[in-house]
Amino acid sequence: MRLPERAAPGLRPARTELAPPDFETFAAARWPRLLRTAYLLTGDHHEAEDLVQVTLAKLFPAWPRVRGLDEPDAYVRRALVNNNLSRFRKRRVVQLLTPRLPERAQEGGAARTEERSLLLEALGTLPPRQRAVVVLRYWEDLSEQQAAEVLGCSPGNVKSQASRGLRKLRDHPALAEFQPRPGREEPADERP
Amino acid sequence: MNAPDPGRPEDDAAASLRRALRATAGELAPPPYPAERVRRLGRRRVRTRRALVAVPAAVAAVLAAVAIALPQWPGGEGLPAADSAGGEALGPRATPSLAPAQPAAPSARPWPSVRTVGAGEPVEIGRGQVLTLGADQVCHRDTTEPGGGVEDTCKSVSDGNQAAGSVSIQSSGALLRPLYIGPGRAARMTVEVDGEVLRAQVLTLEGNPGYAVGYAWGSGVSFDGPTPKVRVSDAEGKLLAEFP
Repeated sequence: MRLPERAAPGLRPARTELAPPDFETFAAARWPRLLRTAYLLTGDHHEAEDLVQVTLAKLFPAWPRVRGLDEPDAYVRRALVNNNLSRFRKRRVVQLLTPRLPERAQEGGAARTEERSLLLEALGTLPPRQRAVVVLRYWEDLSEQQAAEVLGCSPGNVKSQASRGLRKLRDHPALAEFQPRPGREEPADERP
Repeated sequence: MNAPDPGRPEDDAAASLRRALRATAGELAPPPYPAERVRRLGRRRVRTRRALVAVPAAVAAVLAAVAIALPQWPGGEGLPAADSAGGEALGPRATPSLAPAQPAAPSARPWPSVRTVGAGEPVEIGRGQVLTLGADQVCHRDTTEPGGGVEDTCKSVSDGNQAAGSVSIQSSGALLRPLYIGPGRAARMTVEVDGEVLRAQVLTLEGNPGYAVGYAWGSGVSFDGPTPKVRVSDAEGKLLAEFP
């Protein structure tokens, strides 16, 4: 993994005096979150594990430099998304069909499992970059500017991709259960 | 980011999508962080990159020395061209498959016997592909990739993300790999693609590891087409799992 010659915004050298974490601490702390982002990018938990492992393995030798950046998270997120996109470019995409994730005891049963499976199918209909935009904007909650920095494109491009992606997904049955209803409270952000 | 405006169709759709993404991603149970594996992969990447830089320089130096030392071949070329028709060219050599794709006639042929391998033992399955079975994961390496296949891609078989008693199927190029997880003793696996039934070679660990993998060679399956059908049975022919 090569650092850009000119650091993009968010990839500036750190200004804080706090000692940045060592690689193991950083990677272990980010692992669940990165895995979930990769899951939404790939649609498959196995592929997600591979993608995050490879991304972190590339980060490992570069960590002495990356840890000094202002936002190592932005760098890692960018690497994750680019590694995923390069899988498509190199046509090395491994396709996998898997039974649906088993229902967890605390979850809401088969209907919810069905909805989640539907959502992954819906995401799978988007082109890879558009899917990345949707995940960055609506799962990672990045601004258009931040998403543009991750993808190396203009905020306007992110805006149009997000709009197109949203238009494709809004009428998909996958989102029906999650439509806002009168009196329904917005759940607290429980993202892991 | 603009402030959401509930009631606007786009904002409602965005809010719905956010909820749906949270619910879906939250469903995933992350396995423990594989620290040792990431470190190993990282170190291997460094070694490979150094080798990739060093080898071309060394080869260039040797070729230059040879070109100077050798007499010119008839026709003016310093070195003979590789005979591409002879199959021993400089490129990767095709390796015969251990479980070649065959036309469907399953009942006429004996089933390939289950191959029991040691944990961590790399198993060459042909065409430059290597599988390694472990107690908690199955790893795959494509040695035809640049650098000889630097990275294993490993799948956890114990993280609970694939239910017990089920089978999944993975394809990379022509390689089809069913993965059965469950208490049964898988002995037969078939993958049906476009009406063609392939018998997969089953690999397992000694004892009862709770899973088994198979491999077979198709003709570059795309899952965008008809969904492949996978069946896993034990030695008596009792169905253990099927997909879809």
